[in-house]
Amino acid sequence: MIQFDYSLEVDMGTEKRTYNPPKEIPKELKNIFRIQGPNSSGKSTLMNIIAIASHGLTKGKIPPSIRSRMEELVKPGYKDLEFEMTISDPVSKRALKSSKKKGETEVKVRESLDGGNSFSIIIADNFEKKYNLIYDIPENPVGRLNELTGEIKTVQNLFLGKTREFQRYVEQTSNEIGNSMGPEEIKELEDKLIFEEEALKKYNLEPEKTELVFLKKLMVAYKLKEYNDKAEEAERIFNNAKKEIKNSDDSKAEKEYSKKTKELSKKVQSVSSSKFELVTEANKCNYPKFDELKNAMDGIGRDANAVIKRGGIPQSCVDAVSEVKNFADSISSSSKGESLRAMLEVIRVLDQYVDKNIELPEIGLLDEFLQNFKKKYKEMNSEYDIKSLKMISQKAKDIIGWVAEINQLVPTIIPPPEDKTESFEKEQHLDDLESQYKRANGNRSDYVSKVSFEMGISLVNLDDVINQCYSILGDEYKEKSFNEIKDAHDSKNNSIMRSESEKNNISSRTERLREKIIKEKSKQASPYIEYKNEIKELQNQVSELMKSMNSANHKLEAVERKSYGSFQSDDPFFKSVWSYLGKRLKNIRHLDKEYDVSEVDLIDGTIITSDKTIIHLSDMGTGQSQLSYLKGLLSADDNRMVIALFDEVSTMTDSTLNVLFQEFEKLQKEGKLMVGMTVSPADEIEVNSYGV
Amino acid sequence: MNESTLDYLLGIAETDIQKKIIRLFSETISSDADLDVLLREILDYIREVKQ
Repeated sequence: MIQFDYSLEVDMGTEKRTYNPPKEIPKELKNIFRIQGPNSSGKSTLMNIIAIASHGLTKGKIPPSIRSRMEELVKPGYKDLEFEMTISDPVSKRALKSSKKKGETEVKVRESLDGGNSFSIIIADNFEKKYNLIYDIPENPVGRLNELTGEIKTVQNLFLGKTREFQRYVEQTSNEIGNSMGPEEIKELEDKLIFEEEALKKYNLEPEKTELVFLKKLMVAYKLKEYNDKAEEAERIFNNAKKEIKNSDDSKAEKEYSKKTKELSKKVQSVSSSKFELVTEANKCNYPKFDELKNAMDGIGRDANAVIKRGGIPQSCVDAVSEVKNFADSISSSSKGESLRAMLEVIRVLDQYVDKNIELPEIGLLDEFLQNFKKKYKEMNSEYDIKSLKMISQKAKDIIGWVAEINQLVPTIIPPPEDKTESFEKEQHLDDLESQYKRANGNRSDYVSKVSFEMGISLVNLDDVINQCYSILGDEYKEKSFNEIKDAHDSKNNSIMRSESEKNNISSRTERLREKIIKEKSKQASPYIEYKNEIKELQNQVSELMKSMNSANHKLEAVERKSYGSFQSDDPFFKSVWSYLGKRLKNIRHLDKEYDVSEVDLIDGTIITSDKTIIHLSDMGTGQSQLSYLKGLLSADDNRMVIALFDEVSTMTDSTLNVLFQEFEKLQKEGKLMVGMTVSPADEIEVNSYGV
Repeated sequence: MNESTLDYLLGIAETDIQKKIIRLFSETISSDADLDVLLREILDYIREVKQ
């Protein structure tokens, strides 16, 4: 039973039309039926929907032109289909329920194995394994008989793939057990493994590696010590050179010169400041030889260098100063001078009592008296200022004393020798020594930062490290030079490398032995170990079968080309193909007689019947040819249920078609037919049902 | 598998062992057959034939 309903909306641009099943076609049909009707009456639409409901969009034997029409109904576009369909087979009790919603592309297909009580989704791949969907328009049926060979080619390729996979499996099994060892040989391997493992244990290189590490440490420590010694020596040499230059004779002379020059400068400065005051005071006292004094003072010189240059201060200057001193002293010691000194003393005393309104006997008011007394003093002092005279005497005395000291000092001031070449060379030498010191210091720093520090050695722990190395390596190393330690290190390193290489070789051999033993033991465990000979035979047989199948593929291509080509026409292969096609057709109706088909020779274009009648394909009627072709399609018996949809079977007469429906009914009885449907044109819609 | 198709494939095989292989494959063509089982069966067959 087929129950269905659908709605097809077609967008025509200007309007949308909706198509439903025509009322002449019942919505419940038998599984085998024939629809005749005019064009565009919906018969092909129903056929397309049955195919879509049977995963026909991706699976089944469907020519591309038909599949393209089916896709139009499902893909988004101007058509939008919605349907529901249930196909129940009364014989096998299988049922299919399919549906599609409007606006969606997905077609849901469910299957029931219990007469439609419960359904579950069946995907396309599984569907194809259970159902054989055949949808065809049998045009040019004679030509398309050739397509039947395509089916055997497909199966043949399937077998070829399967055989190839099996061949690989056999090869793999053969490799696993091939060249396998006996138990005694495996025992030998195991003994060898034990021997090698024991040998491996002897290679304990750790003590030697420790020794190597300390040799390296000692080398680095020695090197650092060397750098340190060099840096310290360079520093010492540089500092000594600096000190020597500082303490050299030239330097002493210079120092002395500098010291005396400073002393002279100080004295000349004192003279300079005093001579100014001397001249000023002399001027106040109207010193008659003022100009001579002034000239003599100018001749003293402004600074120490000028004095040194002149070899001291000239005697004439000393004489001029002495003369002005005598002048001041002589006036100061005269009676007039004594009176002025006494008056000045009185003024000094009385000044303490001014503004106290003191009245003295015989004198009267003190303030008035003092005022007049000062006036009198001023008048008397106007010629020689007593203060200035005192100042002149003092300054002149000072100057004379300083000049004497200066003149004594100047001859002792000897400038240091001015040998610039020697000085330059000394400076250059000092620079070189400083560079050497800096370089040595830099080398030491570099070595610490780049080498020794990584090994935990610094200037702080240098001695400790060296002592630690001695304690590990032995006291004999205290006597060894760096080069001797390096030789010992290199020798030890080479020895370790040799030992490691030997150890690695033994280790690799051990590993290989271990793997081989495991492999050999697994071969012993293989269930096919006793089938070594049979596997060898099977390998040959599978290889030959592969060759035969490949050759058969080439011969099938010759059949498709309808030419034997380089192959012999009596090659048994071709006869087997003709027999295969004969079995597919089974029987044919030609003219007014039914024949059992024995062979179909596609290259010669003949059918050979069981009674040896030869019928040329070109002589067969179109309807008969169609029937033969469709029967060939149906006879692809592989236990799958057939869904057969044949469109446009217009060239077949009712009697010819009846043979096809008989074939459908036969398949249905065997439980091998789900749907058998044909469509052909007619003026009116008519539905005929067959079978159960 | 269709008997006629099997007959055709058997026609390609040249020895009994090859025919046995094809027969075994035809029984399992639509399933993922256990190659180990196939191998064991064919090896037993070869041993039987060779004895």
